[in-house]
Amino acid sequence: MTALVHALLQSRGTELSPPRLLAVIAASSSAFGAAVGAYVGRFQILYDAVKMPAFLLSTLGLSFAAMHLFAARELKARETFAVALETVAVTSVVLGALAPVVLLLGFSCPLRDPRAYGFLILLLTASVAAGGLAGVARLRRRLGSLRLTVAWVAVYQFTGAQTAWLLKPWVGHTFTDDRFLPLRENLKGNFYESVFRTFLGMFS
Amino acid sequence: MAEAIHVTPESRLFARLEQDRFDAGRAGPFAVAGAVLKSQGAVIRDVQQARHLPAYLGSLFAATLLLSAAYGAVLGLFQPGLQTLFAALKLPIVVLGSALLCAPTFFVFNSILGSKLGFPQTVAVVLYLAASAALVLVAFAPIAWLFTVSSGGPGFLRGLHLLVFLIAAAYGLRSLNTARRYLNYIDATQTPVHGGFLFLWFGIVVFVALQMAWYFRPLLLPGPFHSGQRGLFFEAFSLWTGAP
Repeated sequence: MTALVHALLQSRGTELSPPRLLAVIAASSSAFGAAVGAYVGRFQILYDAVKMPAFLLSTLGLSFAAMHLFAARELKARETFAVALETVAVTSVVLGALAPVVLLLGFSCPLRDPRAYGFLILLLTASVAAGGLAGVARLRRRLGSLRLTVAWVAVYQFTGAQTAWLLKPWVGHTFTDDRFLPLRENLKGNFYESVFRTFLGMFS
Repeated sequence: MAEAIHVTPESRLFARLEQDRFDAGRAGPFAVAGAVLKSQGAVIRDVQQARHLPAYLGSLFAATLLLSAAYGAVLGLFQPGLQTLFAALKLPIVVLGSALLCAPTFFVFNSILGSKLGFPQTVAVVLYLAASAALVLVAFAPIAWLFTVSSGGPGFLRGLHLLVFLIAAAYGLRSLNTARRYLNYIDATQTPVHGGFLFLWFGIVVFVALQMAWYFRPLLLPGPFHSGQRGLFFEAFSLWTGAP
């Protein structure tokens, strides 16, 4: 697996078939998900280990048609998929590399402490940002077009924010592992409405 | 007319490192630790060429384990008995654990930034940093021991140990930076370790080390091996400053 990861990070394209990339995404993002779930512990570790690859791949699945629309003049659908999958794989590997650090913080941060919870959310955001930046850098190199890169990132991020919202809880603000996927609760609003309401709340 | 030869500090360093010789094939942990001090050039070349890599990995790990355990035992002598044993066990966990937890990040980001070093080579470089820091710890162990057995309270000792850890960390970073420069010199076709990232990554290592040390508290005062309490190391600063 480390040889495959090394080939991925060094852009040795010949060794990067879609099944191998999917295996890398599954293993790396599961490790990161499990580390995030370690804060609450027990079943949350398993829940997040399943949800993290589901989040990355379902976002890709939902965004693929729109992404290919922008790239259709330059790339075939198969090529669009390969580039997008490679980008997600780079992001996943960076997240997987940060998993041990997140795991340590997850195990050692005090439960039911708003400051610790806030710190973990910041750590999670910073980790995803680091993974995202590495992925975007690869995408820019692969596509060779800034316009297309911006369009793809916008589509993926726009969809990803809502997918993450639907799959919450990630860290677990109730501090219990009682919810795998509370869809009924999550379907009541969406990420952007929530951000808008929070923004309005600042002025009321 | 004789050509002017410019001898820069960089070229002097590389010339010295080029002369270093060391055979890791039959060397034990302490010989490898000695080479980290005296024959860095040979060690770095071997790691870069993946020569005797299993021997280096084993020896650097064992040397870091033993040397940091020795300093831990001295630290724990403030409360002789079980606390000495606990501190001797906890310190290698903190030193090796911090280095190894951060090794995947070092590998992934350096690979993205153009390094061709494999994962075992990266782990060897990370252990080189840990072994360098552990060497400083053990070098200061006699001084720490003197103050440990002759000090009445923990206040001064906390400051002393913090100072020794800071020196160890600074020396480790300096060793790793020298290794980075030499690696870049002997293989100009790649960037084995990226300069800017090295310092950012070292910040992450220090952060992880502080959190691990806080997780395994107490190190100096009597207490269980692990208190079972969770917490962030920032709490230590508010405890010292008396902030709420």
